[in-house]
Amino acid sequence: MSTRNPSRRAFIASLSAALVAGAAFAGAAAAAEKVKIGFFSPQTGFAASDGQAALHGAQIAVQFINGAGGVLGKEIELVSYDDASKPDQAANVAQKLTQSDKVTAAVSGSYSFLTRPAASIFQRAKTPLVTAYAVHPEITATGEYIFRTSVPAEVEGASAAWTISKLMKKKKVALVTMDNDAGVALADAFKRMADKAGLEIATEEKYSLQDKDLRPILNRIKGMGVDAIYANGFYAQAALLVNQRQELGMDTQIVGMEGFDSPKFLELAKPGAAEGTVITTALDRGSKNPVVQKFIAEYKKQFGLSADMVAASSFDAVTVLAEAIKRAGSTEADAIVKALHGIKGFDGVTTGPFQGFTEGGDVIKPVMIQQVKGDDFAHFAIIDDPEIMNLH
Amino acid sequence: MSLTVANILVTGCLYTLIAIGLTMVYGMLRVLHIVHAGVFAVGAMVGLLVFQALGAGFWLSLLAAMLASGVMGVAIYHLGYRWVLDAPRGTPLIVSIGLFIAVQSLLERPFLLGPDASSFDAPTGLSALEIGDFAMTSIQVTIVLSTAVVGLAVWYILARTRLGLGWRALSEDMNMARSLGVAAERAIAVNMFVGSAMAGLAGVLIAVYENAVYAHMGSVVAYKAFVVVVLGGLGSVPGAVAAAFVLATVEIGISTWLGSFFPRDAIGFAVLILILLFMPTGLMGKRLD
Repeated sequence: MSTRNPSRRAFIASLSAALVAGAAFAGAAAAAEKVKIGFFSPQTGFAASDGQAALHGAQIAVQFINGAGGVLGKEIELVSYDDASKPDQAANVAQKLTQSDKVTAAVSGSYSFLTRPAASIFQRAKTPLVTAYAVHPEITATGEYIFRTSVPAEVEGASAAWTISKLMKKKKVALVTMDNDAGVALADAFKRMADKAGLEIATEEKYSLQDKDLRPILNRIKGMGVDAIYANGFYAQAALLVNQRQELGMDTQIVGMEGFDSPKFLELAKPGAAEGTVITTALDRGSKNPVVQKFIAEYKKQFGLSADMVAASSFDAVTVLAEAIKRAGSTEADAIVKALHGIKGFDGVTTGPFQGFTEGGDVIKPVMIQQVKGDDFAHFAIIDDPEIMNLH
Repeated sequence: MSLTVANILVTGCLYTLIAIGLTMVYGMLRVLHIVHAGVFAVGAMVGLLVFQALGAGFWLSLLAAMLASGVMGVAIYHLGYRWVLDAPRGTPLIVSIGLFIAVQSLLERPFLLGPDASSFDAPTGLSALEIGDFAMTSIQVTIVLSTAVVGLAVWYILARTRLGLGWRALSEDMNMARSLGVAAERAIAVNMFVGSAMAGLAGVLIAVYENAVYAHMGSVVAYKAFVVVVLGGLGSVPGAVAAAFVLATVEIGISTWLGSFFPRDAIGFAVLILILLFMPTGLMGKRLD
């Protein structure tokens, strides 16, 4: 016995040492444990350009938040996946984020047709999802866990009609509509507001994303004597549109949407072709809000590019989500949802100020109208009329 | 009206350039050469790189692009099709689709084109054209002239040279032509080179015309060019030329004069189905047994 006692004592001693060490290790792990926020955007495929800008914007948001002490005493970890510009892949990513990564909440840095299939999966998994810049109305209608920090198509489309009719005093407009979820939703909203404002719609022409030749559409419009064209599309379509308009010798005013808000649009536009183009967007580059200027400067420093609407919107979605987690004091989904609804008059964002969320999870905030001047976008107007901001 | 005519002419030329290479490959190898669309995109990229990095002018960039695309075509034959020509028909098709996906994914890497579209605003030096009401921009004139020159050259090779005779013999019956002494490997290599160089030419022309080079620029070409080739009759070069202009006229005519009630690509396929109903082998195709 006596021979075994010391060894047993040694065993117990080493066991307790291990337990203490283990507890210490667990304590360290708890301190290093992070709040996981999921993120998805197209890193490959035709939308990769916007998807990467979105990711960059989100990454800067995480740096700012962690630099200021994180949330709930922990750092935020961005768990990011590529949806490859494909709806089925977006759904897979949503499964992965909710089932295997078990993220606290997530942000969509993706387009409408990619966010829609993902949204229903987040809703079913009861994981809050904040959509950064997809405009389709159905997204937030998916359920109570789905939010959006950009204005929906209803507000953005109406703002364009308002700008053309009330600010530019034009009477007759032609629509050039991208034939997908976002394009059709924006055009429908535009038409409703045009009706109210007495703006005549001469024609609506649709094109698909595969179409590189918009000349037939422009040629048709040319003969109709319109004062303006309301066009929607992404930056590549925007460049095709202004280049081909120039080629056909037209000077009809073009009013576009936030998809045009990219330095790539200005780069792909031939000299002078984009000049004067007006867009409805979220980012006011000339804003006095220090968050805007800090974000723009940091973006330029890290990625060597001018920040655009997509990057700013993704920054905001992450920032607002983190703010909600802070206010909720918990990573519990229902508490976060409640906290999101409690956010009012928040201006820690680049595309604000956020007046708050509607019951349906859509943000109420002004729409920025910008105009191409030289090789950049400049302030044109801000639409904060409640009649438009509350169109939800 | 005159702007529309110019647009039809230019679009017809671009369809022609892409479709000729495709139909030549089909005629000889009986392969649906999907990766042709990848060659097209690589051509545009090489043109842009030579233009930007080496500061070459438009024409030198164009030449470099054609050369690179031609070599790529020959490589595709030697590394890909040659090994599966006797396999069931589906096999070379799968090889081709696989290569196309690989090329597109490669182009998308940051060290090549990356995810963004790049501007390719190269002045061609040719002057714009204005005859009365009819006007064409400099790049439009360049497209029409290049197509005319290259098209005539291909016609000359096909109709007047020994090489062209070899091509025609090989597409009639490859085994018979080989046993009668046609240098098949060499003829096929030249065929792939010429067809692919034309795809590269089209790539640069479209890139400058639309001021954009991007990894996925072959996506539409991958199916649109087949509409042209099938419409013309698989393997028929004059058929492909005729089909290119028929398709351009119908597509642009309908979307200009009737409006965009119907997606443009759908118009192309509707035309294809209609014509195949009445002419099952296409406009100028021969019966294949």
